[in-house]
Amino acid sequence: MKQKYNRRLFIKFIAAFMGLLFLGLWQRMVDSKSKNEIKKPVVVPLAVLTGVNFFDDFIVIKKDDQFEVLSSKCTHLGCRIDQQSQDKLMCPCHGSSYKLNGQVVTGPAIKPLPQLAYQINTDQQTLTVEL
Amino acid sequence: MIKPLHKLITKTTFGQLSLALLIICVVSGIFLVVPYNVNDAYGSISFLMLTNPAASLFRNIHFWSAQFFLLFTVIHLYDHFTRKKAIKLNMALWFRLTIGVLIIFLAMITGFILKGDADAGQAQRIFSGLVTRIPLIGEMIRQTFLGDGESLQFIYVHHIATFTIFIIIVVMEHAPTIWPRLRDFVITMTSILILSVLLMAPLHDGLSMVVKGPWYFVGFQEILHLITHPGYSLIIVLLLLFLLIMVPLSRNNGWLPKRLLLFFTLVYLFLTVIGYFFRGANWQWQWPWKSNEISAVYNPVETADWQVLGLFSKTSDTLPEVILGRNESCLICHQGMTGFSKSHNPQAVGCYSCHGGNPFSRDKEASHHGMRLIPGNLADAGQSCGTTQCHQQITSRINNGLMANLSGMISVDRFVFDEIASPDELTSVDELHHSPADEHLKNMCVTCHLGNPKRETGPITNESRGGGCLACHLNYNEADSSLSHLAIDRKNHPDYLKNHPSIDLKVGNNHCFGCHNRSGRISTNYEGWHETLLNPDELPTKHSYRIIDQTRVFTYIQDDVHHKLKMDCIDCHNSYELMGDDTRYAHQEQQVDIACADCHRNKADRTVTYAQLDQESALIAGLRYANIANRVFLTTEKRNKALINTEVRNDTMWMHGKNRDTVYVLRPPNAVCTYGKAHHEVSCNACHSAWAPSCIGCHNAYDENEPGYDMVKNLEKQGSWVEFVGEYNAGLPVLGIRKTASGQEIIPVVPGMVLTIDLASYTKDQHDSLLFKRLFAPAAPHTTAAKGRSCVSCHNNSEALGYGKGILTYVIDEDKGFWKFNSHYKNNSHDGLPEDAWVGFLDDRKGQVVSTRTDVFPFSVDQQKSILTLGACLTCHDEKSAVMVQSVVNFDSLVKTISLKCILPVW
Repeated sequence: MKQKYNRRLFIKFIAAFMGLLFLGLWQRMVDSKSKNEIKKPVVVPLAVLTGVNFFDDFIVIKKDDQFEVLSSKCTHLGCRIDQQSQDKLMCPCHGSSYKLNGQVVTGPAIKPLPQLAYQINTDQQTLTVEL
Repeated sequence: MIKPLHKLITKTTFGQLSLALLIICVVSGIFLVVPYNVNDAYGSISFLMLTNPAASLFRNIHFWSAQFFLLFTVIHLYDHFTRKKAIKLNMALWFRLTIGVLIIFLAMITGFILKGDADAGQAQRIFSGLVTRIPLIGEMIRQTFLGDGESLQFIYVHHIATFTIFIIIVVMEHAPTIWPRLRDFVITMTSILILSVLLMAPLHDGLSMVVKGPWYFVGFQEILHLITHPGYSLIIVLLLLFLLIMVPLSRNNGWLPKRLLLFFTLVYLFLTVIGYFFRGANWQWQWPWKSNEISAVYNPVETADWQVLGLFSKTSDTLPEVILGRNESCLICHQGMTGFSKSHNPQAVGCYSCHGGNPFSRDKEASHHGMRLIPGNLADAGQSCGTTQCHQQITSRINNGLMANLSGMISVDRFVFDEIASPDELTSVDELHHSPADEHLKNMCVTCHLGNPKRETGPITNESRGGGCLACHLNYNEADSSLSHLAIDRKNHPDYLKNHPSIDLKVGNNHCFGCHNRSGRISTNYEGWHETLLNPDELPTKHSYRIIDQTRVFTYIQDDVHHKLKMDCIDCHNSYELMGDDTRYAHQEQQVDIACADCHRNKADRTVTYAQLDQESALIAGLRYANIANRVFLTTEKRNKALINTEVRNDTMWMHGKNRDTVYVLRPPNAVCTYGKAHHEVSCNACHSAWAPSCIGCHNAYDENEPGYDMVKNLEKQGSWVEFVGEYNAGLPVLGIRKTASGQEIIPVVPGMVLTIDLASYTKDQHDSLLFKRLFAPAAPHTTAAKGRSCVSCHNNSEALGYGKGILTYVIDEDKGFWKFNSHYKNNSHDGLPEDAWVGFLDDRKGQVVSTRTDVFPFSVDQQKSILTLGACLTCHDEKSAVMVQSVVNFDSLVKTISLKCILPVW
C-alpha cells in the first residue's frame, strides 16, 4: 500500500517538474525569437510639412526646424492615433487625447506618448526612426 | 421574475441549436479558406464580395452562424442556471466549460480581427494591449498567440485550429455529442441560409472616425473607457470566470454567483446601449438624435442585397478597381467618367470616400443605399470630405467660422431689435428661435450660410446659397454638354452620368458672387456695379445696366483697381480667413486677416520660406505653383499667415494670381500716405475707397399675409417681415473712428441700421413701440481706387464728417470765421437729425448707441473741429500748395506761423 502512494506521488512530482520545464522552454523560445527579430528602423523623407504628420507607427511633428517623433501607439491600450484636432492628438478608440509634446490631456490614458529616437541624414534628406 | 428562455422554443433547446450552429460555422469556415488570403485580408475579402458570390455566401453563413452561436450559448447557460434542480457535474469538466466560454469569445474576436479592416486593426491593438497587461506571463502570451502585430498569421492559426478544437472538445465532453439532431440542423441551416442571402456580413471602410468594435464588446469598450488602468478590466474578466466556476460549488444551488452574473449581464447590456447610441467619434458623448451616425457599430441591416444570388448568373468580366487597398464596385458600372480634378478622382480617392453607399456590392439598389449624391454639404462633410485620411482638420474648424455660423449677422440684428445688450455675442445660425429678430433673420437674411445644403446637381451660380465645401470648390467643366440643358432636364441628358464635376482650388469670383452680391454688395461693388431701385421694366435702355436675379437693376460707377488688374477675391483672402482658423470671431472684420499693408509695404520684412510653411499653406502652394521649394513668401501682419501667392525675389515683392497666370509687382504705398503726422491714423480704405453704397428711409414691418420663407428649414411659410426702403445712393463714404488696442484709426462707414422697426406688427403687443435706430457700420467697400480722395472731400465735406448731404460753408464775418451747415434732407422726426446723418453738426451723440459695433464711433466734437480747421485753410489754399503739404507734415508748428490774412474758425 505504501508503495502505491509513493509511485503516484513520484509521477505527479515528475509531471509538475515537466510542466515547469515546459514553461521555461516556452519562455526561452519566445525570448530568443524576439531578441533575434530586431525591428528595422523606418526611413521617411525629410521634407515633411510643418505640423503633425502621421505615419504607421509614429508621428513626426515639425515646428520651425525642430523635429519631434512620438510613438503613435496610445498608452492606454495601443490603438493607433491617426487624428488631430485643435493641436491635440486624438485616439479614436476610448477618447484619450494628448498634447503635441506627448503629455496626456484627457484619459483614460495616463502615461504620455513615448518619444522615439531618430536620425537625420542631410545627404539623402531622410529621417530615420528607431522603433 | 426570472423566467427561463427555453420556453420560447419547443421540442428543442438552445443548447441543441448552438450545436447545429457550431457545425455550420466550422464547416463554412473550412470552405472560406479558399478565397481568403491572410496576407491581404481586407483586399481578399472585398474582392470576394465583388467577384465571387458563392464565396460571399459562405462568408455570410460563417458570420451569421457565429453570431447566433455566441448568443444562443449565452442563453443556453442562462437556461441551465434557471433550473430549480442543481446540475450534477464533474468539477474538472465544469472548469473546462468555464474556460470554454472565454475561448468562445476569443474565437469571436479573432474572427473579427481577421477581417483586416480599420476597426479590426484597432481591435487587434487593443486586444494585444490587454493581453500584455496580464501579470508575469502577459508578454509571453501575447507573443505566442498574437504575434508581433504585423501579420495576421498567428491569429489565423489560433482562430481556425486552437480555439476551434478546444470548443469542440468541451462540447463533446458535456453535450455529450458533436452531432446535432437532424431536424435541428435542417431548421438552423435553412434560417442561416435565408439570413445569409439577405444580409451581407459587414466590412468596415476605415474612413469613419468612429471605432466601436463588434456588438458583443461595445459594453466592454465602455468599461475600458471608464477605467484608466486597463489591467483592472482583466480582473473583471477573472471575476466573471470565478463566479461561473463557483455556481455548482455555492450553496443554495449557486444562488449568489448566479444573481451576480445576472446583475453583471444587465449592467453590461446597459453599457452596450450607451456605447452604441451615445458615443460618437473618439468615444465622445453625443446625444443620439443629434448624430447621423448611430450605426457606427456595424449595421448590416441595410437593404437586402441580392447579389449573392448572382451566383446563378454569369459574372461580368470587369474586375473592381483597388483604391487605397479597397476594392470598389462603383466603376464597374460607371465607366468612362471624365471631368475630375487631379486630386479628387477615382484613382486617387475612389468613389466611396466621397459618395458613401456600399462599395462591396454589385447590386444597383444595394450599392446606392446610403449614398450621398451630393457630398460636401456641412451636415455630412464629416463623413465625406472630413474623414481621417482626408480633410478632417478643415471640417472640424469650419463651423467656427462666420460663413458657417453667421454670428455677427445674427447678433447685430438682435442688438438692433433691442433683444440683446451687445452686438458682440457669439451665436450660431443653428440657434435661431422665434423672437422678432430671429424671425426677421429667418425671413430675410440667413440663407447665406455654408450649412445651407446644396440639393440639386449643377454648377454654383448667382442663385447658389451655401453648399458646404462645394460652395467654393465645385467646378463644372465648361465643355460639360449636359449643362447646356435646363436644370430639370440635366438628368435626362445622355451624358449626365459621364460628366462629373471637379473639386479643385479654382475658387473664382463666381463662387463668392451668389451670397456676396447681397447685404454689403461686396461682389458687385468690386466689379463697379451699384444697385438702384429702378424697375427693369422701366429702363429706357438695358445697355448700361446690369440686371441680376431678374429684378435688381445695377448701374456702373467704377470698379475696384484690383478688379481692373484681373485679381480674384482669393488673391487677397487666404484659406484661414475663409474656412476659419478655429477661433470664433464676433464680426467679419475680426475674422479677416489681410490688410493693404501686407502687400503694399516699403520693405520685405515678415517673410517665411517654403520649409517654414504650415501644412495647409504648403499643400495649397505646392498644388498651385511649381518650383517653390526655395521660395520666400510674405506673411500677414495680423495673424502671421503666409500669403502663398506672394514671392520675394531679388529684393522685389511679387504676387502671382491664384487662378490665372498673372504676375504683379507689389508696389509700396505712395510716400504721401505715410509721411508726416497728420494722417498716420487714417486707414488705406478711408482715402482709397472710390465710393460706397448707402441707403436711407428703411422701415420694417411684419405682414402676416405676405408669403414668406423660413431660411433655416428652407420651407415656404405664411407671414414675413417686409423691408421698405427710401433711397439707394452711391458716393464717397462717410468716415468714422474705430478704437483699437493701441489707439484709433479712421475708417469708412456706411449706414448700418438707420431704420424703424414696427415691433408690434409681429408681437401683436400694443405696448411694443416703434423702434428707431440710427446706427452706422464699419465697411470695406471693395471699391479701391489708385488715386486717393481729395483733401476737400474729407475736410470740407459734410457727408465725410457724418452730417449728411448738404451745404457746408465757411463764413467769414470781420475777422472771425464760422462753419455753417444746411442739410439737404429734412430732419427725422424721431431724433431731429437729418435723414442721412450720423451725427449732428458739431455735435456728438453721447449716451446713445451709435453703431453696430462697440468700437466704432463718429468723430468727436473736438475731432470735427480739427478736421474743419484744416478745411478752413482749404477754402483759400490750394490742396497742392506748399502750405497744405507742410500742414500734413506738422500742422501744430505750421499753425503758429500763419499770416494775418488767415482766419481760423471760432466755435
